[in-house]
Amino acid sequence: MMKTLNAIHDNDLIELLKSLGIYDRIIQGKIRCKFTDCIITLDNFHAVIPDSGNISCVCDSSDAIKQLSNYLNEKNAEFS
Amino acid sequence: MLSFLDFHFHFDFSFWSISTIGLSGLFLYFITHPAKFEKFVALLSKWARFIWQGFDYTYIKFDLQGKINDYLSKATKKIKGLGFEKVKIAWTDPKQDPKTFMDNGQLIIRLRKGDSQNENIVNASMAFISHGFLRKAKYYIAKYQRESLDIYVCYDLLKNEKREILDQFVQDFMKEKMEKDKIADFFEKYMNIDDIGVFYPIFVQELTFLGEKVFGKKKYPEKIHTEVSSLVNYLNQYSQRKLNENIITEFNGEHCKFALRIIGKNVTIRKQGAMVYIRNLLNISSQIETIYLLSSRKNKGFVKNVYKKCKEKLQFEFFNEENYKANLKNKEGESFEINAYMLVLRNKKIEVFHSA
Repeated sequence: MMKTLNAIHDNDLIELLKSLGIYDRIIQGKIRCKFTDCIITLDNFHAVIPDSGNISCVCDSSDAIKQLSNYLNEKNAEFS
Repeated sequence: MLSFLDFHFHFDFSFWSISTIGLSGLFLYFITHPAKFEKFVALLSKWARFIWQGFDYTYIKFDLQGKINDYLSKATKKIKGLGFEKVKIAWTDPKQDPKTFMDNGQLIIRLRKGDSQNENIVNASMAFISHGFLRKAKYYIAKYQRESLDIYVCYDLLKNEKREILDQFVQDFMKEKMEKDKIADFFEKYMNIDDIGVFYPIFVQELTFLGEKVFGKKKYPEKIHTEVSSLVNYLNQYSQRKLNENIITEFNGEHCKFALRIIGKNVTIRKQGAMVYIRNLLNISSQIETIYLLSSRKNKGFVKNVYKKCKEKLQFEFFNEENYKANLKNKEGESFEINAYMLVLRNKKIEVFHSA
């Protein structure tokens, strides 16, 4: 059995964020990390998840990465 | 007169026949070791990306997969029922429809360019271990137990990588967590348990059984937390055992019920043979769910013979076996390494795993 981890390369990140309609808000500093509340930038962006009808972003701090895993465990979400 | 006995053997190995044999051997090796193949592809891509940037995708993907899958291939040999054996990195199409993205419920993580591959390895390993490893069991254990387990397993995954990768992991994830006493205490106990070779084949295996047992049933979290702590303490105590020292040989929790039997005191084997061990096995309570038979590897044949002679009467059946290295303690408490063997028997009345 295989687990799939969906990933986006640095080269494609801007295109992804534009497709999801959140690029402009990130550039304007209007999006905050779901777990640490810090402002998401193109530099610290780590992950994007669907979250109760919205799109949430996660920063690349170790705290946020760990909280992301806890959040996914508690929601019993699947990588795929 | 003896000219008919005069044989000439003439071998003609051309470059092509040698290279064909070599390539065939390499092909066979990679078929049987897919994680090594991924690492090989990563190595080629790492050089090739200086020619064409597109190889950066290949390098990042196969380097990550190779490292994690290599670790998993070793872990899954020691633990049955983990539920998965491989990880795959899938590059997402950057053209995503927001509605479809939200309906799919899929996480997408960012992987940086190959120049920052150390950071990718640390983040992806921690993400994978936290979310993918022992999910069922970790859901029910205490937060500090879960965090200490994730930290230890990730450390185990990364400890044989480049120094900079381990340093980054220690800096980003371990340092802060280890300031909490409970996590640091458990981490140290995991190291002791791993030192005697039973972290995966006994501790993680029992957690896997626990996860299967409590999944989907009414749970009492405090009881599970207490039982896991007791399990860690029991195995930690076993790890401190000196040669020939007696220990409590059974663990009777509410969910984890297993027996440890050390087979192979030379004087016992020589004077009493297999019968003493057979009698012991047949007297094990029917409440016990798993028996771990532990011995020196030189007694592997003897252990298998003991099982073979009583398996018809025994209500336990073969589950797994493993050769491993163990650091034991002599009578003075000094460590010494042995080649060890473990035979795992499972109670026939226990249900088989349902799929993860």
